[in-house]
Amino acid sequence: MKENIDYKEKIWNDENLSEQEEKESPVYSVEEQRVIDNIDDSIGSKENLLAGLGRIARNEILANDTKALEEIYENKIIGEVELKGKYDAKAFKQADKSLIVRNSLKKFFTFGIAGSKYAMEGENGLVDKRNLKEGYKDRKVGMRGEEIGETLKELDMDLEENILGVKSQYNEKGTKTVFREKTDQEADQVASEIFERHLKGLETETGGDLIKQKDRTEAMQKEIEKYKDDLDEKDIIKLGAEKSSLEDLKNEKQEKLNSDLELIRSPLETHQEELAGNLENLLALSKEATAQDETYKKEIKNLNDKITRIKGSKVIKDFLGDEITEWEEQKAQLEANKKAFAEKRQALETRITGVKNAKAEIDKTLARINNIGKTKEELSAERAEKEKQRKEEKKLTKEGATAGAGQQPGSGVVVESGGGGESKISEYAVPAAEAAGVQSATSEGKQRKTRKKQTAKVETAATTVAAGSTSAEVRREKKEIIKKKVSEWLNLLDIKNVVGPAKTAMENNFKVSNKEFNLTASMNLDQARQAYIKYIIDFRHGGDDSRFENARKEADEKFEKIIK
Amino acid sequence: MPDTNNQAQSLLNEFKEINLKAKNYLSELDKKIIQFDLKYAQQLVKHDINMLKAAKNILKSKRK
Repeated sequence: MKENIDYKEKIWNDENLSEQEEKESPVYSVEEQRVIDNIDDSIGSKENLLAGLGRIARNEILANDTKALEEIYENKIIGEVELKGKYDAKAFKQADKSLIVRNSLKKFFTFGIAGSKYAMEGENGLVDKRNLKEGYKDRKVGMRGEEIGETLKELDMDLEENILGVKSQYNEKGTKTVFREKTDQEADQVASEIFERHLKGLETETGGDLIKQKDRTEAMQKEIEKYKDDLDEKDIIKLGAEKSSLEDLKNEKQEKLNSDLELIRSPLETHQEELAGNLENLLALSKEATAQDETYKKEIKNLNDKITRIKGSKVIKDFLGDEITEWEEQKAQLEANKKAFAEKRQALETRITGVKNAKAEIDKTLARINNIGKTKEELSAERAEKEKQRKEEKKLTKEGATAGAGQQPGSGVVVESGGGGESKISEYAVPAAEAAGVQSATSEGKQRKTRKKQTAKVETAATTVAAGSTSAEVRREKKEIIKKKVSEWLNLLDIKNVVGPAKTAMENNFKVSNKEFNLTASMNLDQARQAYIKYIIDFRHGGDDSRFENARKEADEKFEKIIK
Repeated sequence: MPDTNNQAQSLLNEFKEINLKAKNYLSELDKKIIQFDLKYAQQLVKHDINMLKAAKNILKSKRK
């Protein structure tokens, strides 16, 4: 277990890791150390739960955007310094010749034993041979180790932190620009900025254009409606053609926006789902740990009360005789357990905060994406629709919970689980049930006083159990009950404003009993699910039925979310 | 006196039982946290692989 704890600490505590490794690590060769450092950097950045949007943008959304990648990985300038005498490039070249001569003479007189610390390295020119040992990345510009050090000193930078990856470039104006590779976090930051620009562009330009186009089409429609009685047939035909051309343009813009947004939306949704799953697991673990911790504290308190009631712990010590060591061991174990509970609850909290923050960032971005290219009217209609759905869901949940609770057995189930037997009760309910069970078995003096309190707890646990065990039924009932208009299903499935092949796939599949496509027709959940599967196959996979399994899986996930 | 002795022994047993139960739970919790960490790490690695694939595609398209 100690190994496990160490491993976990390694994942979550960079500082401790570094300190520990500094103390324990053997001396590696320069090359080995560099590889180890790189791996450490990489691990460090991967451990960062808050890498968030920038990391997703860099790894997935912008991964095929060559221009963005160049900007992301462009070396970071860390300063510019004036060249001084001996480090000047020209001075270096002159020194080079004399050194070659001196070196040759030295070699000649010492039969090749002695030699200069400088050497020529192909096109790189003069290099300090010590640099080779020190493993500096950049020997091309002829920078010596001490020169890098001094440069960093001039720039008030930490030599240890920055010695690897530092590069420099001599400029014509007699200055030298020093730069280094970006860290993962810096690259994420740049990616995040590019992504923000990209999104802003979609919001204001592509989306803005579409909104204007929608408004123009709408205005045109209103004008035609308003004056249709005063217009002659010729004008109506002309205006109709104009309106149709406006609609084509609008559809074209919508299609372009949809395809741009899909590239962004898809990876974000995947991450959103993963993070939601992580969060759900962590919250369940945290709730369970809190309940177990509280139960443990109560059990210890009860024990202490009993000790006090007999004659005090000092007397117990005398009677325990040889077993005193065992008593002390248990006291030490108590302290260890208390400490471990605090540490583990804190560890869970750290993870929960990290995952919550990352998820909030993605949720916010997806909400932004979903609003792009929509007119004020469309947005307020969507809000109203969501509110209506929320109320319906709330009503259904309430009805389901009430019906479920009424059908459940009473406290007998809980008492049984408290007795230590295997139980199918949800993890949340177990600690509360156990707490109640253990207390009723162990506490004697306080039992009467606390009976009322315990009964209340047992009842609470029973309600939790009841709600848990009927959730599947409630869900099944909900599936049967749920019936919506085609337009509502499409809205829930994010099939909005579709044009081209997507529109054709939608109209061909979201039909009830092979009738004409009708947005106001009523469709139950199973029909909607089948229609969505066919829609995915037609639109995404060009009608390839062999992709049925993938489409079905995707539909199931989507509907699972909707039902929840 | 023997009664007190029995009570003391019984309390020690209870103490052991409570502590052992908590210790076992903490050990299980530790495993669950490690499982979460591993799962999270796997998700990150999966994304890194996606990035490598994308980088490979870019390199390939540049060579054409």
